[in-house]
Amino acid sequence: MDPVRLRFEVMRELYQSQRDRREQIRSSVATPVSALAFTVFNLSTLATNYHLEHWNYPVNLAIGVLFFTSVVLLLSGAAFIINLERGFIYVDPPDLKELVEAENKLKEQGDKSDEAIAAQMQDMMSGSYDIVYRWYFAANEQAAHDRTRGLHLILLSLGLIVVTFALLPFQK
Amino acid sequence: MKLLEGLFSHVRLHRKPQDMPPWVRKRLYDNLLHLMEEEQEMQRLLQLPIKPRLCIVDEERVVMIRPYNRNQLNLDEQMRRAREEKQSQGREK
Repeated sequence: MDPVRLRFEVMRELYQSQRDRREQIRSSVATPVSALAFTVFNLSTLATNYHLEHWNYPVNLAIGVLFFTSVVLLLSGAAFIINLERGFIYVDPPDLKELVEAENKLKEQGDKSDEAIAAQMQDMMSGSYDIVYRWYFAANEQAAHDRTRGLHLILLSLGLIVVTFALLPFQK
Repeated sequence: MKLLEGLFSHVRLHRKPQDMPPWVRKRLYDNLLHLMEEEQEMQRLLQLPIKPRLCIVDEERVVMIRPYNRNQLNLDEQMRRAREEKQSQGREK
């Protein structure tokens, strides 16, 4: 295999892997979303059983604070999940029209054989794949990070609800 | 009614960036300028006779800037401002 071909194959593989990873991250959002729905359901159960009229009793006050903290954490987690897809600008390799134009420009530039033009175009594609790969890599890392952070916040919110449920029998 | 139109609208192929609100154009143009820098670097690295030119896509708004659309963008005032901002940032660095 010649070096031009090698560069092309390596970069194309890397580009494809990052594209697939993007789809995986998108589909894995289902987990935090399910956790979010479950937490909302638990919060509603808690709200119906909470005696707000005795809010100044220590246990009632603790339940109120935990409830409020749980809601804040849940909303923060949801914001991370929503932001995961928002505002991402995709970059794609040159389209067919651009490839044809590039080929014509290379032909105009001198007396080159078809093999030489093909090699230069292959290098052009390797360069394009490299740009897209790095672009996607950074975005994927950020998205995976946001998804995990969102999930952690939602789980923490759920944890607080568990503590609140344990306190519920002691309220006034 | 305008909100409902926005919700249920669909496009054939893609929209032009010039039809987008200023904040969407700003985001697109900033990314485009960054991409153009990357393309130049790639041309230098591989010693290519021509620059690789890539497409840029905003999936949320169904907007696509294809390489041959770039010349039309020079007429856009917002693109001129984005260029100036980028140049002033470069000078500060």
